[in-house]
Amino acid sequence: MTALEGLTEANQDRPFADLVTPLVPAAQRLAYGMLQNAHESEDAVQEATFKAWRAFPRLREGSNLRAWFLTIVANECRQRRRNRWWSILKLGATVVEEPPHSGTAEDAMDLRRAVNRLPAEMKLAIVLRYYLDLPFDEVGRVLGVNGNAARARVHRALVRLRVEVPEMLSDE
Amino acid sequence: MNENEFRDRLRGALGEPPPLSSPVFTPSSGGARAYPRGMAVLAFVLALLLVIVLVATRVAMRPQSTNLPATKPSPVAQAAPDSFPCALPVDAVSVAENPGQNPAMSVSLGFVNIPAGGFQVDPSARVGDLPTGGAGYAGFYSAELKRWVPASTRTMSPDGRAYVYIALLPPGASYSNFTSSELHVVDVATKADRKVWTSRDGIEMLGWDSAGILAATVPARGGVRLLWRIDPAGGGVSPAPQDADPTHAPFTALPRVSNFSYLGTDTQGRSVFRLGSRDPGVKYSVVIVQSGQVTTMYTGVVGDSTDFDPQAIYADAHGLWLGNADGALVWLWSPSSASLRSFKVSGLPPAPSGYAYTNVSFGPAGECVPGVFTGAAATGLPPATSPTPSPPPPTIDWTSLTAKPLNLQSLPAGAPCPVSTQVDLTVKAQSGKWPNYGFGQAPGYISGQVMWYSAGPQGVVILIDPKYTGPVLVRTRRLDGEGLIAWSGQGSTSLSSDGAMGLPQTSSPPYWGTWAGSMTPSAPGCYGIQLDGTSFSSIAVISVSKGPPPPG
Repeated sequence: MTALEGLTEANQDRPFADLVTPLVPAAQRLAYGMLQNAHESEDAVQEATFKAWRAFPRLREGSNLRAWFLTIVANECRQRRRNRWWSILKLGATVVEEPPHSGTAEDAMDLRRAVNRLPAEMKLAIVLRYYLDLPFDEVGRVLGVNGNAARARVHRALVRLRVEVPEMLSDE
Repeated sequence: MNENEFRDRLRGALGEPPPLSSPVFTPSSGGARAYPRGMAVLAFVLALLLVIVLVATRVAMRPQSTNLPATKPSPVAQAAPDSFPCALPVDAVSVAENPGQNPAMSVSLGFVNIPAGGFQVDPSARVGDLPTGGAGYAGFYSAELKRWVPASTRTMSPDGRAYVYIALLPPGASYSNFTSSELHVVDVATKADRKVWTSRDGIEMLGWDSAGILAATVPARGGVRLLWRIDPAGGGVSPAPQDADPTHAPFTALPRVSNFSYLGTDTQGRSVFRLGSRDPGVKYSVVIVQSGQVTTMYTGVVGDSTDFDPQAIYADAHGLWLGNADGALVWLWSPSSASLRSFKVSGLPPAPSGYAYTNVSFGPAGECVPGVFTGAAATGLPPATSPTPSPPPPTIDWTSLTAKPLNLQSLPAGAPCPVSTQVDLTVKAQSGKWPNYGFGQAPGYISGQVMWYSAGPQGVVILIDPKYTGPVLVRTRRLDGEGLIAWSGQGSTSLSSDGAMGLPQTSSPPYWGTWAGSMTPSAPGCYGIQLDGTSFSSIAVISVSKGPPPPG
């Protein structure tokens, strides 16, 4: 039984299942972009789905459901990023990287490391904007700021990435 | 590199997510997952082993130096809460952007005079004489030393006389290839640069308060993030608990919320959080957390008349200063009286011309110093230049287009929706990547999606063949009932309350016209979209399904 089916049976609450089901792939994409670990991403989405269900009755009419749900997923990822003490075993299996075979692979590895080293809020802004292709207004809703501030935060993150991997992000 | 190229590279770097299983949920467990009883014992044993391993690891990784007492609490100027006028240092960040181009940015260091609210640039704000380790930081104003330094509120000492920077080794290394990192403390007055700590991991600065420097380390190839307390005087280093991270919301102390954001931490270790989303009508709070104790600064409803939308913070003897998201206000919260006061800001850098998007935001960058600051008027970014500046849209007389008949006829009851077939296109655009398909007839096509949904906005692209270069009027009508489509996006003009939209500029031969925005159908159903130009009229029909648009 999936989470959403379970929720439906337990609560006769079709709206939650109907509305959240299409959002799960985006949630998984966000979690994977933030955590870069398939198992951890599944766990994060699992936990976020449950938290969303608990909070669902408080969701106001007219709220942006996708931003609301992605915010819960983002918060879950933030918590997991901080609470990494238990994830040594998982990380040990995932951080082994193949040596680069080409300039492109090496560049990609550099960029991945640089993005992973960004402060959590900057990384979230970059992932939301460029990995999930959200418009700035929606990026802002997830970050808890307005669209202009989200745009500024994305730009600050890009400026920092340009410092760290200038060869990747030059204008040339 | 433009946005689309960066997007492609980022996706290549992070990779596509592998197939992930759907979340599993057991309603009867009340949130806890149902595991076999034996698993609990096994989990306890594993947890115990992990704790032992972690403690041993931390002891082994602990640098070989003596723990020294933390620095004494720094003196704080005892200004009265209402000792105005004072000048609040701020870093104003101007951003301007045209689609498909790198954004232009500039940082203006200056002061907002309180209570009048006028912003003035400080012409003497130079930080080039102080070391930064190659990192570019926004400025911080040290009232103690009466000068700007290349630091932030996070890297500045509580007494405002020293700051931290992180150097990556070997010299010139970036976070993608460093072999070790160093934490340096710079005495601003003497410009003495001391290396306080070296780690083979990457050091991340979290804050500096009366208990010393708080930093985190993360291995170069990723892994466990550890927190450390560092004595800035002697270099003594000791592990810090994970909950020392000021960005870590203490959920046990906070009311149950699904949406929060961290606004900052002051030199006394008080962290400020916003609880609640920014959706219109949502109730939200701004709270201060210190040692698990929560103080509510403000409770309101998004969109209320107070317009309290805080961003960066800085605390001084006056209280807690907060920037507002729209850059129009500065707020001061007084802990003693628990009162919130706003100051309207004027004189910020003007918006440059020729850009589709401009914004100015700022945050407090030090304590409010007594007196009135007189500097220079802020100058904005220069106007946009080649290769593709955005000229102001031409003035269009839309009446000739709006007078054209609307050829969107209602469907008979029960009739199927005559959805337009997908047309393959060869779109040559001036910049960026655009869909190579569309719905409708030449020269105007609706694109960006192949499925349309009723709950929430979704991206939409309007493609105009370069054989037509004039303005385009976009009108919609639901063909099987009541409903309309709301459009929004840069470079468009709203022409009526029923959703009509004008695109003043379309193609520029040999390039296609490409407009990207969002559309929000009011209800599921069958919709006709009519595009009218001076020399053509075309219709696309789409079917809008119930529910929110899918991700991606």
